[in-house]
Amino acid sequence: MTDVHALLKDYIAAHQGGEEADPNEWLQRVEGRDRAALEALIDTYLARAPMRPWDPEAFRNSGLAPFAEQVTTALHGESGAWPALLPQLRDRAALRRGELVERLAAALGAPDKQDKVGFYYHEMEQGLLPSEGVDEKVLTALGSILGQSTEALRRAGQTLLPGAGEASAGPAQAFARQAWPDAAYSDVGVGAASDRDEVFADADTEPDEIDRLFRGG
Amino acid sequence: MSEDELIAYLLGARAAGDREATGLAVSMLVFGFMDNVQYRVAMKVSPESVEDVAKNVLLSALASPFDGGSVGEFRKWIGTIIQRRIADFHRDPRREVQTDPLPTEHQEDDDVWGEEPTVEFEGDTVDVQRAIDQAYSELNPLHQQVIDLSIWEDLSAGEVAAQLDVSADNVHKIAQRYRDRIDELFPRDGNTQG
Repeated sequence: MTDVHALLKDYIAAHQGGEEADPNEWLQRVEGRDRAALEALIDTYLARAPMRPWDPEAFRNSGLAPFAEQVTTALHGESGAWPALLPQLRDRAALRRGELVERLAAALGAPDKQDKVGFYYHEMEQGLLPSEGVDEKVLTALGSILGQSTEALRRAGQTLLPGAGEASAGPAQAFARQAWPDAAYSDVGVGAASDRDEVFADADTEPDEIDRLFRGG
Repeated sequence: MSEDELIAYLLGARAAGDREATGLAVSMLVFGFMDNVQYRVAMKVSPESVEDVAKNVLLSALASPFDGGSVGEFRKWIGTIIQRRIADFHRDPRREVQTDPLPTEHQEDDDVWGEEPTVEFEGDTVDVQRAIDQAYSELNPLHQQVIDLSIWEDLSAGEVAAQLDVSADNVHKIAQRYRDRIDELFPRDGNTQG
């Protein structure tokens, strides 16, 4: 019988020594009930281990900054968890934003309105679009592209909304920064439609179906 | 700044509309917890999904204080959410994302934390976790402190003895009895508990 307690001690020493401490390297040394025991012991240790001390330089090099920025955008936006979730799902689907917007516009029956669809999608990722105004048809179409249900996307849009902790910080603040999860899929120029005037060229135009689908009513 | 102070700071920063302060608090929490969350998740899900699951854990945990959770239990939220997200991962081949903060998940429950998820794939892991918890709960407070320091913080018997009113020799004995008790509650030689 393997001494899982000795392996635990060895793991803790490595973890506390600041080494890369992927538990699977230790778990590979045991099997069956020994493995289950070691797994639970390591998990118990990790659950109690102190958080990593703050190190700004290490943080910058960690690759975690975009995610932290997305969560911050979500916390100060009007779109719930979408700013943190949608880029992640888009990355998982290996979709450039332009590709996603093209497919979303087509699914909404408006292939000729990619700029406007792109503008609104950009607002969803940036926490600028009030999630409660987004029609189920949009979420169903988006979910079909990203492999999610309408309900999952709806719930995500309702998470982190202002109210429990603050009044909304406002769109201008949230719009001040942009974060992309992966440079390979961050083609800002396609579908971002950051120049609102280009999308809404005619200010006198009545709201159309796309406006209604994304902003309600 | 302690974890709880950091959560309180985050709540205050968001309430004040201070995006920069919010960003700093979120960054410190993400940096502080991501490695350990990923390590814990990595023991249960396939390597290509570890990062996604870990991010969803932290996203849900960070949402919890804003959804009625009380400051002071961030670490507990993370532990429970990890178990739930891992269970979600194994239950749903479509990998439907779950972003609900913890209290909302239990809003129908009398106990806001609900039951720990038990799913088939966990099997022995649930049993051994119970053994670890039970062996610990059977100890008196002083002996629990000995275990905290000698096993979970990996201090030497001499260091533990210097902090607590117990000899180094007894530290060894208490730690060994704790290990033996875990092994007794979760036999690993193929015998079942009789």
